[in-house]
Amino acid sequence: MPEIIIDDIPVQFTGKANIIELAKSVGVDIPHFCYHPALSVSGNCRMCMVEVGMPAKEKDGSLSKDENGKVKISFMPKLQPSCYQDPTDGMVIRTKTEKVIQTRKHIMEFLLANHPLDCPICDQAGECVLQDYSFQYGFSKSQFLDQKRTFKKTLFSDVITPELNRCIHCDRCSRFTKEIAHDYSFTRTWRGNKTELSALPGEKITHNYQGNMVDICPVGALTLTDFRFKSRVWFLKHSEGLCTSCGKGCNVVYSIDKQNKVLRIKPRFNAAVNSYWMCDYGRLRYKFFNENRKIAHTSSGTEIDLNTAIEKAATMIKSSTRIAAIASANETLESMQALKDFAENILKTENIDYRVHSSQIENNTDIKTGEVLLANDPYPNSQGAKKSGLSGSVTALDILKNPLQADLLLAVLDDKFVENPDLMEALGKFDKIILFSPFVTVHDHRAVVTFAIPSLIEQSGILVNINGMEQKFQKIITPAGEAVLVPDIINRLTLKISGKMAAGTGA
Amino acid sequence: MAEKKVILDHINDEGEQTLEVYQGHGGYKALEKAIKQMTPAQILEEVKISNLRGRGGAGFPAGVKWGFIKREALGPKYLICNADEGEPGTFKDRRVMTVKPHIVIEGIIIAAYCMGLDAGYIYIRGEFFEPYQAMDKAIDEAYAKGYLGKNILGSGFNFDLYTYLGAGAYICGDETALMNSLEGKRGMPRLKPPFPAQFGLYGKPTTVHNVETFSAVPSIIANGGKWYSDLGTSKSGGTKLFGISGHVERPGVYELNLGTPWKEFFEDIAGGVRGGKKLKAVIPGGSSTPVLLPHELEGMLLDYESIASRGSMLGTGAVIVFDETTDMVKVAWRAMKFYAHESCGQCTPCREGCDWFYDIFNRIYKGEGREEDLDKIENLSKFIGPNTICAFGDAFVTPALAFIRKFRSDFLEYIKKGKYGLKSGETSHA
Repeated sequence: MPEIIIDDIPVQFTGKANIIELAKSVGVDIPHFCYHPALSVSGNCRMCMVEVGMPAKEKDGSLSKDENGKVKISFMPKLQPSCYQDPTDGMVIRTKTEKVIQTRKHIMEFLLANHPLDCPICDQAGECVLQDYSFQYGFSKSQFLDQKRTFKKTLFSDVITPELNRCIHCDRCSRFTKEIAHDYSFTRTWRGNKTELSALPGEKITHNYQGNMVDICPVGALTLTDFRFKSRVWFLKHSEGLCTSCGKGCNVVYSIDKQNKVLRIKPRFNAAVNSYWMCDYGRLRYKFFNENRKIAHTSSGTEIDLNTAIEKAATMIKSSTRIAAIASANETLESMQALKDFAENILKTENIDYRVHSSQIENNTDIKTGEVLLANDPYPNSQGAKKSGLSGSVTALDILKNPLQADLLLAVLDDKFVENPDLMEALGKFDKIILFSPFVTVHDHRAVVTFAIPSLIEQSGILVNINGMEQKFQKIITPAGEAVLVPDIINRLTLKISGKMAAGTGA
Repeated sequence: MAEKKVILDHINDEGEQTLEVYQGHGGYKALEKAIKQMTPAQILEEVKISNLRGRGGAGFPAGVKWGFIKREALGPKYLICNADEGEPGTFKDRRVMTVKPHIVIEGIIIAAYCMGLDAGYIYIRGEFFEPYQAMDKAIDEAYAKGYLGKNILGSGFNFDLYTYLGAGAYICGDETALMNSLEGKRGMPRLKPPFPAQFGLYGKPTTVHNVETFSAVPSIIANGGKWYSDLGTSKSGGTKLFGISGHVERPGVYELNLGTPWKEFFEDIAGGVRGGKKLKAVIPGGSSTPVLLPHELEGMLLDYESIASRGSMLGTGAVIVFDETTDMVKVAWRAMKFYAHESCGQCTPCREGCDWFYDIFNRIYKGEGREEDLDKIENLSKFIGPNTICAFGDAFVTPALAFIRKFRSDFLEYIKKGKYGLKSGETSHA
């Protein structure tokens, strides 16, 4: 296997490899701005310059050795960009020599020459590559005394707030737009130091992946309008989770403030699902986690404790004969299985289903036309629901259309259901309802019982994405108020109604 | 020695831009000879013997460059004639294209035939509208005569030639930026390798030469490589066009054998400094080549090596003459203004460095310079040239350094008179 030596550490590689990545794999950090593993190599920031050498050869082709028998290495006179230099067997890379260190210092000085010193009011501070590198690799003082270059304020997007004075022209954003979002409305304009990123004159960027441009911007030139001035990033807790806004199941990081509110969602790398990206729809939809949360169980609009709620619900279930149930594809696999067992063994109904959206009815697992990640299916776990056997002979949509066929409706609600006026109106036609909802609903005042349940970031579990991939996720925040997991409520109901624990629950 | 007119032969004749007159002076004879009597390998051999070096500034041997192209390789192969004559002080290609376009076309066809190329593009600088029209007209005439198009002169060789007018960016004179521009992309140099001979225009093998290089080819084929080589020195064969301008008695484009003494060219042919004034400095090869002082010009020959030995370059042969009245600080200021305006903005050291250099020169020129500014330029310079993607970094750093080193006292004079003055220790007449 071909091998290169990075700072005296041998690294083996196969096929086409990248020196920055190889170095990273052995713990050597090569600073870079413009290089991004998912984008084409542009080689413009010149921060990753390293010394590159090859074993020297004698005229006859044999390796040239010094008096101690060590192979001599002949280094190229100029430093080479490690993002662009292809590694070849026997190559020697040096990243810590005086020449490299001095070059980095001066590249930092060039980059900072026109960069405003506005970190105190810049949203990027704390997660700014320029800030970090300046501290790690730069000079503490600049020789630059002249007027800094400035741009007129422009607004080329509703998602992004640009501050182009901070731009270091790494071109990641415009490469992303072309190569990943397949959009050609955003590029560099003008020339030289006045190079300015711009959408088409007088227009705005419209693609659904603009947030990623903010993520990959190494500085604060592009910041997320939605997150702007909300919090310093070091005051937030950053937890790994899954996006729940469609069936794709993009891996994300939730940023949570001290009041347990979600302030931001950022994508997290997963080669099998979303690479480094996520869509703006999913990114900006997080607010439902924070608003309108149901924090107490209610009966006809009055707050009651869990025991009373269980009792009321159990009594109602026992006295009903034609029970229908609507499951939610927004629940975990565990919750769905519990509900399925409950319907089968206790409710003794086959009238249970999760399909309220056309894509679920058609089992459409495609990505929306013109999109990269956003699926047709708006639910994060439709495949899980299907797998759990939650598809009945009639769809949930049909159950909702026939309020007279059931004398009691159990419905697990979610953000999409609550936001959908048609579904909510259909729900209103049912006389007796028992709801499980993470959100306050307009039907709470007339529901027999509304159980408060946690949202998807307040529990752990498994979601199955449109490609059938099971993804585990962990609880990020503690459930709001008195919210209780659906399986727990079902266990208690089962016990209450049948006197026995539900199947599969602990001793 | 006097002028040696190979490319510029008959340049002042009435109607020389037409195919008819050009042919009357033996035009397209070389093409016929190449196609009818010579094999591509023989043509390549003659070009190698001729010692012709690229006339765009870098001086890369043409025969070697032609040898990079694999004639048998499948798929299209392209030729580019670099007519983006942007180097300040240079105006030789404009003259050739406007007045003698057919010599360029003839050279291009011979080169294309030798390397087996499929199509050629003449990338003309955006401001050169007159040469653009002249070239277009000449190409039409050549097509009508069967020198271009399908089955040229019955040889079975097909070659198409197009003109393309740039948008007026200096950086598009860099061959890879030129190719990007030609492809409709931003005119920014590409990372190398791969070089154009493997991955050029539209990703295909491509040969790029300057207008003047192609113009030299017909005479090499007509008279033999040895004849051409003998015109010049042992290391650089043939003649070179020099465009002399500035404070000189007879400015213009002259063709000289390489190796002609500077003194002979400047004093006998161009008439020396205008108005009998004293010489202050000379830029020998366009504004990107370091300025030379009169004493450095002594004994200098006009060839690649002799100028290089004096720390400058033959470049494009654009000689700019400054007499004793010239304000060299202003010259440097103006040159830096040009480079700051023309940097493509792709890589950091050049994008930021150019503007920074201009800021410094501008401050000095406006009387706000500081003594340490000159050291700052020296210091920053070390990290620009070696770290840029293309040669633009060196193209502005080396002349800037030459200006401040060779005219340090002029700069200090400006600083002394300015807002901040000089610190103790250094005097303006150091």
